[in-house]
Amino acid sequence: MESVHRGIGYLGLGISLIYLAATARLPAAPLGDSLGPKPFPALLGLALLVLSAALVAGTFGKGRPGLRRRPGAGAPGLRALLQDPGRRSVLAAVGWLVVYAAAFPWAGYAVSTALACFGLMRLVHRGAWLPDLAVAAGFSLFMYGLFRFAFAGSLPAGWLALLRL
Amino acid sequence: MGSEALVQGFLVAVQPSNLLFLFLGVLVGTLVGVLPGLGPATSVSLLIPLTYDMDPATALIMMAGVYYGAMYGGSTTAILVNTPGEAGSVVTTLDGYQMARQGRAGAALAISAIASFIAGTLGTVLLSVLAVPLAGLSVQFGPAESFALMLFALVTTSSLSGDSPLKGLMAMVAGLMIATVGVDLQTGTPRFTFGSNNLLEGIDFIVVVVGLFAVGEVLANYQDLPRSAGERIRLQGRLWITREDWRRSWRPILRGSLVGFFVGVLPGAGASVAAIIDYGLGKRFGRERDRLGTGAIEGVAGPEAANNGAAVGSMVPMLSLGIPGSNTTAVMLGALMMYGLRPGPFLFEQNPKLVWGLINSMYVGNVMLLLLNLPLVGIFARLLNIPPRILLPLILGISFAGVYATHQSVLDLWLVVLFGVIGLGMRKAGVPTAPLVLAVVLGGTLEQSFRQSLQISMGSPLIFVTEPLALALMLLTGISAVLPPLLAWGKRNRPRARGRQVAVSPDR
Repeated sequence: MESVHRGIGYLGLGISLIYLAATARLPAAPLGDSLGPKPFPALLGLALLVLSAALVAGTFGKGRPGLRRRPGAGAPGLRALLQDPGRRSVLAAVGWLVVYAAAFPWAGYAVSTALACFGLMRLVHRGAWLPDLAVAAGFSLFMYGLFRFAFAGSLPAGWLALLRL
Repeated sequence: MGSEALVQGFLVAVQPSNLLFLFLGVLVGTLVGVLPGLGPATSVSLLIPLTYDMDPATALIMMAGVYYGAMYGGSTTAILVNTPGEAGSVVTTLDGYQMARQGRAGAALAISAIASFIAGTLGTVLLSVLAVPLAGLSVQFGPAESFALMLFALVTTSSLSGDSPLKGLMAMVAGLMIATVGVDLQTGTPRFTFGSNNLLEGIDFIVVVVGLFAVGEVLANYQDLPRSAGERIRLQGRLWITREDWRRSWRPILRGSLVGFFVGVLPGAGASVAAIIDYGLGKRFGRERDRLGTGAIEGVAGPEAANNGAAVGSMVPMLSLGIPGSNTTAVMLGALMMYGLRPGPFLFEQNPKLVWGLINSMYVGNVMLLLLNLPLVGIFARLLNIPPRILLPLILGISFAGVYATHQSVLDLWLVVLFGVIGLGMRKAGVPTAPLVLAVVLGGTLEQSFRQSLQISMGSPLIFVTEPLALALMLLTGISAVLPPLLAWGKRNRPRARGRQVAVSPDR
């Protein structure tokens, strides 16, 4: 767990430094405002810097077991990570989410949702594909119809606009 | 304000449109509670875009119905599948699933519904009694006191969440940083927008909530999906309790209701904490202590009363002080602000119908839930037949629809994916998400109070320690930040101390 804490700490340090650098570029307080937009973000950046440093510092200490690296041990490589089926599923699911967000504006809600749902269902199911497709398409059309007609909402029609829906 | 406000509130609560949306809310809440993966906080946040054209009272009545409805529904999955449907039912699995394995699933589900009803109703009575005096107290709050109160709520939540107060505080600061994105309200200066017009309005809390809770949870489930799913017990037999069951349960129900309510009032200590505390009290002091964990009905009655009590209790600080007591009330607070309503005494004075309509609707909602859950629990249980591989993508489809409907912004969808990955990472690294969400909701108001305080004091930070109420709250904040690590340190060192005593004492 120490390595995880150290990783979180280093990430926090990086974020706080970037945040502080962006804060420094903010304009100074305008006339009539003694504080301006800078001080509060500056305090937050410093707070994260201190907390992250404390977290990293807490992972270094005398006689803490697990800190000394075992001979031959190292961070698990990408190949080792991908050998775990669960992690592969997660990476693939993230990939499908990226496809979903990318296709959303031009393919429309119904088509992109059906595509993403079908892809995600097939990630962990090797059986018949037709029921999965039917559920994905049916759900997407139902949700589109619900937002379009019942809630008078605005989900992008995309390719369904060709069918005047 | 007195009986007239109560009567007005009841008249609002029983309006046909409000009754309809209350029913929809409790129904959706029960479904959300039964199905793992979609909690009440996410569900309420997804409903918000649909409520823009609604009367705020109706919208809040529906959202509250979703919240305490989920507490009812969560026990179904906990009892039949040994998996909590929502966080508040995690303790119910300990005895509830054992009861189901012993052929007593019906009794477990029945006592769960009855306990939830009693706790919900009792909690609503306490809410009616406590909310007004507490709101009156907040009249004395100036910017410094408001800042100190919000900081206390944030730090307490951060310290109580997760296994490391440091990580909780880091999550809190990260949430406050997210809240600074957008145009600074006082000066009109864009901050951290990196030239993007879409970020000028900041990052909506709905995007953060849906990303962290819904998408993050779904991604986490994909990791376990290939080898998941426990045995599901089929519901058979009578859905009722015996006289002996009631004799054993009424004390734990009463204890759980009160414990849950007062724990729920505390910021950051939600339904799951309340249920765990109640179970611990039962294990320590209850008549049932030797039976807990073996399928004791008390182990279902007490925690289920506690989680429902906490759900109602968390509304006390939200309505009176503008401080959410849980994730879901944090989202509801965000909704209140979106409707232009400011919690506190002014809410009770200027919108009595809204507040008392909401409170009184809970009496009706609890009756609806008892009537829904007792006869219809078998139908809800059938939802558990939906394989996760089908359910999880549908949750993502609902999430994307809800988020896009908020601002019609594609950037929001990318942010939801980003926060989903962040939420997954936070889960794996043991970083609590509740402090981050709370900070995003309160961040803007916290900064405004901070700046107003320093403007009043001509830039002197001593205003936070010279005002008596602010000083008291800052001291409490300090205690809540320091106490958990101190207690943990004490616990780690206690065995060594005992060893030294044994070595020193000549009589051993």
